[in-house]
Amino acid sequence: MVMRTVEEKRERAFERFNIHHRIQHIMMFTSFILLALTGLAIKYNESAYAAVLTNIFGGFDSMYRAHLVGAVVMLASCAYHLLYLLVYAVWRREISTAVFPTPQDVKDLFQNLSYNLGLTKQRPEFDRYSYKEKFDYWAVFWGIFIMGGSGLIIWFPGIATRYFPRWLIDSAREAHAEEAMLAILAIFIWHMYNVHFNPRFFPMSRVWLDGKISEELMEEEHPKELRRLLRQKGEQPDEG
Amino acid sequence: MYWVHARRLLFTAGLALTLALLSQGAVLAATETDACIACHSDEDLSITFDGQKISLYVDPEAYQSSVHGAFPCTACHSEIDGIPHSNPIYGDELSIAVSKSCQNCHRDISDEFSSSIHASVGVTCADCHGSHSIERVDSPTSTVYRTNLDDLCAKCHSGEVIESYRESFHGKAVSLGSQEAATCTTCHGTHDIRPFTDPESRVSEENLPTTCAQCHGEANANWTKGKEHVTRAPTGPGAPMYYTYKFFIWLTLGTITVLVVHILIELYGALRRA
Ligand code: HEC
Ligand code: HEC
Ligand code: HEC
Ligand code: HEC
Ligand code: HEC
Ligand code: HEC
Ligand code: HEC
Repeated sequence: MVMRTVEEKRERAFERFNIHHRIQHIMMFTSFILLALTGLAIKYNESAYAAVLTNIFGGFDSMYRAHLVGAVVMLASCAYHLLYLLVYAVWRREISTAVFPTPQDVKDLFQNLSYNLGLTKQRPEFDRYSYKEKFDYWAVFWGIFIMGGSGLIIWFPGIATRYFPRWLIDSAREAHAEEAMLAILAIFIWHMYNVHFNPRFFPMSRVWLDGKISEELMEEEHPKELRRLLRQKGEQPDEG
Repeated sequence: MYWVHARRLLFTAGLALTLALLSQGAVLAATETDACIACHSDEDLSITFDGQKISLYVDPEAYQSSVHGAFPCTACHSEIDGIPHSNPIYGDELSIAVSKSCQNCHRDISDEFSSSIHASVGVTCADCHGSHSIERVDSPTSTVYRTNLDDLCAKCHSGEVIESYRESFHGKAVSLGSQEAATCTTCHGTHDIRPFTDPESRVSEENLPTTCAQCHGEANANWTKGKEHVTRAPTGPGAPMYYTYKFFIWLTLGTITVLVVHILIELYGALRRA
């Protein structure tokens, strides 16, 4: 059996994210940045930053409009994703379970930590989604649920008071302001570290743009998936 | 033809006469004001009343550019009967005397004001509007402009009332110049403020839903289920906000700590292998 060279593996690309995934992600991160920038100005209204930003937008009311536009885009990306999942399930007559947490993820977590602490020589081998990626995915679900839910309540307090007492609306605002900080910190520390500051593809992985990932990177990051894909193509994967 | 001409002539003559009288009045006002300014533009002019030093200085430029700049000083200071002033008054007596003269020209507002809580506790027009540099209320530097109201009311009101407003979405929006969000006076009214326990108050249990509905569309009874001026506190009406806040703070601290530890372990691994 002939092993392919590193160059060959670098050349050969696999589609990791299709056009729908990529559009959803672009909608998500552009609206996230807009929401974070304008939201921080509202939260820290006394800061010089808030004054500068409101000036750029030409006043608070238009800055707040921009925040709402961001909210609509983000909710739309979420709706798009759910619709995509639904259509996919009906089309393929199967539900993709690749992103559901499994006991293997817990094992992978501990193995990854042990590996990095030098307690084992064996690096965990990930399938299509590593436990970190699964965490990111579900964190966004939780984030959208809390931010979208509380955001809609404080956007439409008139409608909300049909069903909820006033104090719940005030609490929704607390939730909105604090969960936002969690989301911003998580994105800036965790996501940036994972997808930008990773030495393997610094300054950034291009997968969000063209959806492609090289066989070389697949081998390192998603070896189990690679082997499965190669077998499906009738090729013999390199072992280990 | 002739008549039309005559009427036009008459009209012109009348106009000229009116203008002459008006400018005569303005000149009188101006000379009278100048006479008062002659002494009162002295920055050191002051007296001691009730153990306190009171400055009698009036900034002529600020006065002239104020909304009342064209009026003689005595339009408000009817207590001044000549020079030197024979019976000077100060303190509350002066406040009340001057506020009475606002009534002469601002009748409707004064009537409205007389039924408010502020009138009954002795707050005067000047406490909110100032005296010699009153501006149009829609000027951003006016003491009663929407973005300056929290500071104005904070001269006498303090604690939760002010803090909760500054923390609220309304307060934050207004502090950044929002023209839409609620100010103290969109909820409470301006010259007819009443205690919230008074059924006629705009923020009484009966009226609150309609007050909020001015901007929020629906006058639901749920608007009253909770307090407006409340800040996070472990007990009392601030409790739901307090515990929501605490939950998310700890969730954030916990999650970020775990993530950072995970990153550090990976970086340590990378360093060891390098
Ligand atoms: C729009 C009404 C108004 C006009 C016009 C006005 N004043 Fe006053 N004046 C006030 C008020 C209000 C006070 C403060 C009363 C108080 O202490 O509550 C005051 C107070 C004063 C005092 C006492 C010191 C002080 O500041 O408390 C002096 C002196 C005085 N005015 C001089 C003048 C002179 C001189 C003019 C004309 C250039 C003038 N005022 C025109 C409203 C007016
Ligand atoms: C000759 C200087 C002089 C002139 C001119 C003058 N004042 Fe005064 N004014 C004073 C002095 C001095 C006091 C303090 C009097 C005292 O407390 O005994 C005073 C006090 C006042 C007070 C505070 C006491 C009170 O009773 O309200 C007002 C208001 C006032 N003047 C308004 C005026 C007005 C209006 C004019 C113009 C019509 C004017 N003054 C012209 C010197 C002057
Ligand atoms: C508690 C503070 C307060 C007091 C006391 C007060 N005002 Fe006002 N006043 C305001 C505010 C706030 C506004 C601005 C309302 C707006 O922006 O529509 C205002 C507006 C005005 C206006 C112009 C707007 C209009 O409604 O026509 C006049 C004139 C006025 N006040 C006169 C008076 C007079 C006269 C008194 C005393 C009888 C008085 N005010 C007492 C707070 C006060
Ligand atoms: C001699 C009559 C007169 C007296 C006395 C008077 N005002 Fe005025 N005031 C006016 C007039 C006229 C205007 C409008 C000026 C304009 O439109 O430019 C005005 C304007 C105002 C405004 C601004 C209103 C706006 O629409 O922005 C306020 C506030 C005000 N006065 C408060 C007071 C207070 C407080 C007093 C008493 C201390 C007082 N006035 C005494 C005649 C008077
Ligand atoms: C969104 C409407 C709203 C705004 C804005 C608002 N209030 Fe109130 N205010 C209320 C209501 C409702 C109450 C009744 C008590 C409660 O719910 O806290 C109240 C009560 C009060 C009380 C009596 C509180 C007590 O416990 O004795 C004061 C004083 C007061 N407000 C002043 C202010 C001041 C000053 C501002 C601006 C800094 C302001 N309010 C802004 C709605 C409002
Ligand atoms: C010069 C001082 C002063 C200023 C300025 C002032 N207030 Fe007051 N206010 C009082 C006093 C004194 C009371 C009566 C005592 C109390 O209830 O606090 C009062 C009562 C009130 C009440 C009724 C409180 C209750 O028991 O329900 C409200 C509402 C209120 N003020 C709102 C305002 C607003 C809004 C402003 C600003 C536009 C303002 N006040 C400016 C002194 C002031
Ligand atoms: C002058 C108009 C105005 C009035 C009156 C008003 N509001 Fe608001 N409020 C706004 C605006 C503007 C927003 C921003 C959100 C939006 O566009 O709906 C807002 C947002 C809110 C929010 C959501 C933001 C947050 O604080 O979490 C709540 C809750 C709220 N208002 C409560 C009230 C209550 C309660 C009252 C009556 C006591 C009231 N408002 C009266 C203009 C007003």
